[in-house]
Amino acid sequence: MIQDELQKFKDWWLKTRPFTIPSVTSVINDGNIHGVVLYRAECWQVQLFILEPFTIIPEHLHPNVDSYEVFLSGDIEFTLNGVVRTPRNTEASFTGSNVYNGMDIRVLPNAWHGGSSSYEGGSFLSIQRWLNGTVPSNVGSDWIHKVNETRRNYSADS
Amino acid sequence: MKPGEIIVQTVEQFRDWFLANKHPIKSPFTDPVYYTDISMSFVWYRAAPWQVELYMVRPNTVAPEHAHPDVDSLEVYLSGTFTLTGLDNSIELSQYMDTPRFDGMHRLFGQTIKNPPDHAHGGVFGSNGGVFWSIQKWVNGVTPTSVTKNWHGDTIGEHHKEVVTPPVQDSTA
Repeated sequence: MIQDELQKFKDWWLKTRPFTIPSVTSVINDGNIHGVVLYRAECWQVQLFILEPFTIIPEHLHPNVDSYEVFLSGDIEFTLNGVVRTPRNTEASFTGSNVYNGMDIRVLPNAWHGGSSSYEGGSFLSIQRWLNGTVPSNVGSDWIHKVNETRRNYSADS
Repeated sequence: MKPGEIIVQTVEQFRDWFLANKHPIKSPFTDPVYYTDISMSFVWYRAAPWQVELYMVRPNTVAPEHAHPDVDSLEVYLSGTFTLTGLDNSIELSQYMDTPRFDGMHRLFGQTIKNPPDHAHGGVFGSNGGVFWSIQKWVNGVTPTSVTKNWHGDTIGEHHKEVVTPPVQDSTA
């Protein structure tokens, strides 16, 4: 199987985990979601996101970003094109981490995706290739809502 | 264990191991995320008594002076505009926050501050907020959770108050 460049970047970054955190605009506080840019070089970027408990991210897409979302911890449920791809579970792996730790989802620029967290909150890496000459920034700034939705995230009880 | 390998006993040794091994991610299944009104943290690595938490702090906030009675820790500067307070030899850091390093990263990236157990400290966070690692050795036989929870001092918001002092359960219920 021939790997595409984003897949190579993901595998390389997860293996070597280099940090090139920008000196400014590296921290994102967007409602219930908090993020930091861990790596940025040309069109390649890695962001770490933390979700507060009971957060809902409505389905959306990023027209200029091709990405892998890599699950780290917590009780996040990811959806891709309306299908649940990492369901919440109640089981730890032999490592002590969540059994889904390290599982990734490819999110193409035209793919609707979203997520939610339960009482633990959670975290994931977003490993990105920015397209169409767009300069990397927070992926939340390259965002298209579904019809009748204006929120990027909100609390489940709101 | 390899012959001649050093047994990790101090938080400084653990930091050196963690950085030399490309900061491995070993987030726990339970309680991986903690938050207050100004901060969010994620347990990056846990293998008791050792732990690493990544902290993100909102811009233009203040963490009041507090101490962690059961944690010996090193705070490692990653990015943002912040200064930790309560240090014996405080240095004016703002001069290092105006311009980036040669490679675009923060000039204070990787700088480390020691916080022994019960050492009072706080933080002042500027317009870019702050991101740092808290690299920890938990002591006194206490199981690692979060320094957000192992906290002596004024709390930061109602949720934090509940985290530090869980509500007493009614045993008659």
